[in-house]
Amino acid sequence: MDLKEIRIRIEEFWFSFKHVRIGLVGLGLLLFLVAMAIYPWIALPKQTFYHWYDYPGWNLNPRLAPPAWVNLFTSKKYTPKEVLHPVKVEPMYVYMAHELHYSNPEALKSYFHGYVYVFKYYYHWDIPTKDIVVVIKGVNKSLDISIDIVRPPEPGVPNSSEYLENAIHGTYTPSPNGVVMVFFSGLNERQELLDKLKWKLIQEYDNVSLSMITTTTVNPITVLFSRAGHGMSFGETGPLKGVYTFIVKIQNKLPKPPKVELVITGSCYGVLGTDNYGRDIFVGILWGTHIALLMGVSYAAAVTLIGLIYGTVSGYFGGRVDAVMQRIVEILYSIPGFAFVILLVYMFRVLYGTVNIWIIILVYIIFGWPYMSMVVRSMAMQIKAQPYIEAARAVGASNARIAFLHVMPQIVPYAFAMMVMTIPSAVMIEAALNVLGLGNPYTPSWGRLLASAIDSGIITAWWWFIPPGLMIAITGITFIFLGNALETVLNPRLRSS
Amino acid sequence: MGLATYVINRVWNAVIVILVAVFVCSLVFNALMQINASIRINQAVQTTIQRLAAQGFQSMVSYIQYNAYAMRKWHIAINISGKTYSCAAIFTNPKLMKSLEAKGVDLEGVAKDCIEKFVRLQQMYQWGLNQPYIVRVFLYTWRTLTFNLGPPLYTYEQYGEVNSVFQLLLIAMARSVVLFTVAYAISMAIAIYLGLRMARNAGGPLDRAVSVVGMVSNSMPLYWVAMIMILVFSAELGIFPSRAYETPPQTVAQSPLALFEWWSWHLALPIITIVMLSIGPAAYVVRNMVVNVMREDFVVVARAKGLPERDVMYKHVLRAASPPIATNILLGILNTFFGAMISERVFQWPGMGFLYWLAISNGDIVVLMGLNYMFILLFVTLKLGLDILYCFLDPRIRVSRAG
Repeated sequence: MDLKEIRIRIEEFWFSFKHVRIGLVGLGLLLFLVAMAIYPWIALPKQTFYHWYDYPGWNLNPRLAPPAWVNLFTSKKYTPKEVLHPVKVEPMYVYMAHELHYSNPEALKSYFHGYVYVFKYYYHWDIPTKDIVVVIKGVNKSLDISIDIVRPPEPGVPNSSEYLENAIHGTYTPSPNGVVMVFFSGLNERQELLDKLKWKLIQEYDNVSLSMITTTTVNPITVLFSRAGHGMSFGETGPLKGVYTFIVKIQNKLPKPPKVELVITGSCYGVLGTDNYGRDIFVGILWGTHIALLMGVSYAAAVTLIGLIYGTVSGYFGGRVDAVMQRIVEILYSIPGFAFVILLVYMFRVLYGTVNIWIIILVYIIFGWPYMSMVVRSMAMQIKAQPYIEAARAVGASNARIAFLHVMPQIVPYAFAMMVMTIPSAVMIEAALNVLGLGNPYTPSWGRLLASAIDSGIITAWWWFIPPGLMIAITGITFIFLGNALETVLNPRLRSS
Repeated sequence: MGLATYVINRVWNAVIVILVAVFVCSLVFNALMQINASIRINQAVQTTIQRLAAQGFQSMVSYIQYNAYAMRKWHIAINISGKTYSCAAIFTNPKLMKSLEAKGVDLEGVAKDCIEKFVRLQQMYQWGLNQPYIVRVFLYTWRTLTFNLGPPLYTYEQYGEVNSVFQLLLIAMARSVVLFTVAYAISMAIAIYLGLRMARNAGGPLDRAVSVVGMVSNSMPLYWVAMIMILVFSAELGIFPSRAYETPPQTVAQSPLALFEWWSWHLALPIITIVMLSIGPAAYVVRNMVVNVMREDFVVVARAKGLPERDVMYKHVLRAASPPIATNILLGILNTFFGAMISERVFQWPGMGFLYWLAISNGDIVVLMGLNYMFILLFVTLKLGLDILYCFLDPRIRVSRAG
């Protein structure tokens, strides 16, 4: 078969394929899936895949946040994620001189060390951010940090521009790569901020009993962004919009000012929101695509290959060989495969701690091939009766030659169509095992995402569980459409057997 | 005669399948049990030794003396400077004890070793690990086949008070069967109606729409659709409860009508979901089978006789098409049952799927083994039943297969 003949065959195939409408839909969906599988390898940091479970970047995302585009449909707007850079950086002594109305700052140089960073944040949303993080990069020693917060002026409220001095302060040790992060939602920070707000604002404006104000009942960040008034500790007064000032003071001797950013994590995030660890669900979906396709294709290919060889041998040779081989197939086919898959995968988990998705696929292959081999066998038996097989035998061709060079190639096209239709089942079984608690928590497969949403029990987080299930459904539809189209195009004669 | 041989052949086949499957399960199970048991045995040994050591040397000696008979019987011995002594002999013979002490032997260490060996062996007997692996496999195969699996390793409060795995499985299976039978019965009734209408004008808009819906609903995981349904109907609209299983209050439990109302209200959401997803594929099967039958001569004759279309469809066509419809739909259900069963976890309905999840998260391998056996039994008998039923209903198959 030379190149020209192959080209003609492909053209012929395409000519009949393009008239099958569902085939074209399937092809379009397939291209979409393949693009989604390739895209993350080009555009995303690989660490998000290999360290899906504990990627440090997730810390700066809001937890359990809906997608950013929900703002288009809701009247109450969610705060988007923002990374703020300081509007002013100055040495501590200059800042202090200004504060103390001292005319000669140079004289204070030996008394005050460190640097002051001023951030301005224009808040004009309704649902406040889940967290605020101060990120300091390039440090190699512990830092004494204190943060002042200034709320915007509020008409009709005396002392409205409340200056929360030392709202958060503490000593922070940097991580091995020289980064210090101060989370406003951290245990100590939360307590400090709440205490500050309690004495400065809540005591004065809210009629609530102060013993009720604890970190378990009140979220200090909500209070910070609420208008002063009765009910402000539970965010009932509505948002206080305006420019907030965050003054970050580092009180250590440092040769030069380190780079400081203020991350407003926001309360909505990205294309598909985040889960309860702050992981980006869209990133998970993207990485899950190549896993799903690889799983599906390798499972289907293995099952088809085994079924093709087994079925051809069984059908062609017949007699006692066939009887024995069919008995094995019958036993495997009558057993509910998933019961064994559960037991074997569970065994692997007990032995090795975690489950690799490839072990799931391997075990599933054992119970997947019998059906394929049964279909192939019935076709092989039909083909065996054809005159050209008899002719080959008369010429003196060996049994193996006839079985694998004359019988099997006739079955390949149909087996290929069936293979395409088996692809989604591997994705489905992996997802199902994940829901039963037998998946690998470190791999961002669609099944894992779906199962972690179920595990969390948070049914209202629709952005978390709908996309992975939808992707599973789309994969299923893609390959069923393609398989149906291929079946109609390739060899329809053999189907009725 | 032909039918009888066929049935016997099938039954014999099914029995072999069950035996092989349970045997393989037992192979895996015993390997897992050994791991599980060895952890527990080590724990038991440690706690016994710690308890006795805390009470002092004398209590260790009296423990050995108390168990001297069993120790002799099991030949528990210990090696002291090249000579082997029986444990029971050392601690029941004061003279020997004295002479060993005079030699400078650490009798407390010896007692500890003796007790450890004894407790370990005792525990091994208790867990049945004294026999070789392969014997245990056969033993366990037999125990599984005869529903004698003993009590579960953990307690399952959703399933009430149970004292054996088998009892637990019966409760779970009853609940699953109730849910899925009702749901599939409803969906089959609708599917037959739909399928007949689709077949009457094959290629029409209804036919094409339902065919596509069938393909699409086959590729959606049921537990995923279940979550969406719960989100919409229970979290947002608040029409149905989000948990399918809740113990009815005293006032409801007294009258059967109120009880029926209670359960149908709680099970409405799961049933609607299952029906929604299983209707498409089932209607597609009905349509295909009916279209095949409608080409046959007797239908033409029935029409030519002037029978009303209703009678032709429901009395003649449907009757002829019912065996393949029944078997094909049931086979389809069997093939998708695993995914359907998992949705019990989402609906919080404590049936078999829910129990699977509980058993896996608890690490309760005995229940896992029982569940697998139940499933193998259910599947193989159902497939056998379908085979025989099909053969019984369709005389053509009966003749060709038996011959």
